[in-house]
Amino acid sequence: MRRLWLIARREIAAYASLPTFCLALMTGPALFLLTRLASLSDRPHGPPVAAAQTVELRSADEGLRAAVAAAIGEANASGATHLEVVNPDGRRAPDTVVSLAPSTEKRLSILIQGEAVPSVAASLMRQAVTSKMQQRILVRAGVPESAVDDAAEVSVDVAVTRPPAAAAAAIAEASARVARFAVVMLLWMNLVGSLGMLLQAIVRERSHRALEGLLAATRPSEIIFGKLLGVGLLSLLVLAAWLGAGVGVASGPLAGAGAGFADMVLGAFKAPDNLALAAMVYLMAYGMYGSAMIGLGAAARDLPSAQNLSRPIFGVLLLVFFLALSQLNASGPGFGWMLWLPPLTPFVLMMAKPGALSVGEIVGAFVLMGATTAAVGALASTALSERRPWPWKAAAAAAA
Amino acid sequence: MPQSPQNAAPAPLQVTNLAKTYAGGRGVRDVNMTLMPGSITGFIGVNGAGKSTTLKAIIGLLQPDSGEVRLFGEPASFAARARLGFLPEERGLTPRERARDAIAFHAQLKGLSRGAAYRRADALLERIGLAGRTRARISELSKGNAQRVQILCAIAHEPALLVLDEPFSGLDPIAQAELQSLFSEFRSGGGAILFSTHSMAVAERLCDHVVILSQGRTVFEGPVADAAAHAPHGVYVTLDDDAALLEVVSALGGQAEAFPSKMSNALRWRVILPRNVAYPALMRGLAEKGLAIHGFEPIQADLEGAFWSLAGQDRALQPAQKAAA
Repeated sequence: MRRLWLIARREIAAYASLPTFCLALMTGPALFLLTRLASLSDRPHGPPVAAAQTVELRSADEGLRAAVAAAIGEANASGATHLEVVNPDGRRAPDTVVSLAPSTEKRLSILIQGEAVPSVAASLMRQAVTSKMQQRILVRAGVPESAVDDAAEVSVDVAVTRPPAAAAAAIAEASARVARFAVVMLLWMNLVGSLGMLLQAIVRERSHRALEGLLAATRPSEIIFGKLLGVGLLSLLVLAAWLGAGVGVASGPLAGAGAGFADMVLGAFKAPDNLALAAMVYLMAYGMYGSAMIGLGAAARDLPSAQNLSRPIFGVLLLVFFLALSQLNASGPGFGWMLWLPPLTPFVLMMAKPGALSVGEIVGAFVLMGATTAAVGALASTALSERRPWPWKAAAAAAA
Repeated sequence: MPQSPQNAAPAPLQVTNLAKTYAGGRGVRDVNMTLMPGSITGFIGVNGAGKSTTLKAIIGLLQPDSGEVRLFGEPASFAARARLGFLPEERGLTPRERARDAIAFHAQLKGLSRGAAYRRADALLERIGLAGRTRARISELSKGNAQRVQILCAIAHEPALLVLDEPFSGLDPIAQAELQSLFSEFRSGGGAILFSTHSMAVAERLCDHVVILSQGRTVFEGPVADAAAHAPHGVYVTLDDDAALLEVVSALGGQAEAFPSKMSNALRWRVILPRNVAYPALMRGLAEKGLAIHGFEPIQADLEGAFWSLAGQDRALQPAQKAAA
């Protein structure tokens, strides 16, 4: 155990003494801060303001002109338009000319020339003129003007929306999916970085021809788990800095309450239980992938061959990325049997909806990851040392 | 339990009938040796004879197919190997590591406490004149100094047995002398050293015993003086007429092996004669043939001669008749 810790401490010193390690440590917090700042700057500061536009109303009918002017005022008040009605005095050329020409008592032509009037204003104009002409017909038919005015004040509001509960549930579900994806990607990025460090850690011993000297003083398993521990502790430090920054940004003074994408991402950091589970899953994934990476590093003679040998692992991790991406869509494919495929197990655990996996399945998944780590670690020990033959060679020799 | 005759202490190292075969048939077939406390043993053999394989099996880097390695009277175990220092043939340290940290790290791996390991590292660095460079990184040291630091890593935990694979290769003469001085100091403290080398001069000067390996087998084990007695009876001859030489050697019952010579149209021959045939007989035979002899040098009865005789079988010395044919 003492030798294991000595090797771990040596790894920590080798990486933590590099100035570039700070970059790995600060990348996550910087990203979270940028995400939050970007989302703050995207927030609307008030209703959108349309560009100012001058309108000249031409009509022989004073009442209709007044009705259209009132409709334009109403559209301006809603904030959707910014139209200015100008007099036909010739001192200022209007952007738009609206000509109202009744052909009969029941028909009216509106001609809009120049800049197009925003659709909100056009709709209100049509409504106001129609109402004015209907009132005139009613008055001429003998309906008291007071009754006509009362009828004109009738208004009906129609709003189309989803049932509130369903809408909230849909938003919550989408937020949860995005949050799970964000955590998986966070772990994924950290894992990929740590695996690169592990590969370097073992290849460094080989390429500097220091491995034999080390093997003469320690057991291969101590080298493997010492390096796993050392790089793992650094990796946890980075993960803690990233998760801590996420929690800080999500719950600190910059926290937002909106439903934008940034808020959904940062929402992942408001559930400590999920983060604790994520950290546990991360440790298991790191142990499993890390021992495989050390085994490959041990089997390789130099860095180029180690990089070639590690490509399948990074290929699996790329597959994991796309699987996680597919789960962003509510109708994406489920995981099913993939839980029992060790390279995918940790990510399936993280991406599964709450309650989708039974306690038995979760425990089984952890056992599977532990067993895989032990098996891969044993193979890595064999690769590291010439002392023990490969299991299949030993079996063949025994059979012979 | 093997005992050293000098002080009845168990032999630091005993290898019995060690065999290890790699795919392709290389390896060792029957290696035997016993080291005594307070002795330096040279491990000699041509390239590919199996020296590194044997050393790796002693260190535990290889699992032998058969045979036994005993350390300090016990079957070799990880615990017993803690009293052993090893310098591999493939040498190297992490370039970013500091010299002092590297030595202390290896000492701690072998059981020294942190404080003791750093004190020992400081003392050893001072011993080789690097006291002012304890904070230097390995990459900042010269190649020779980096190699010396690696040797210090092997002895930092004060082992009772040192196993060194080609410790002198790549060292300049001053560093070699320094290392020999370290060896002598280690021996006088009761430690045992086994080191492989190609340099007969170093082995003869430094070793009490030698183990000569040929084609994976121990062909000699004993004091250097005894090995010298195995030096063959013969001469190095340089001349132009190869056929005439082989005829004379054949007539005397000897064997001859040719070497390329720097002299034009002349070959240097290593001629082994029967013990009862004196050199003048060969010279007389050559003179009678009217040959121009460019060189005639009796083979010395030393370790190099013995090595040629014992391990030179690897190079298939040709009987004169066969070579002549």
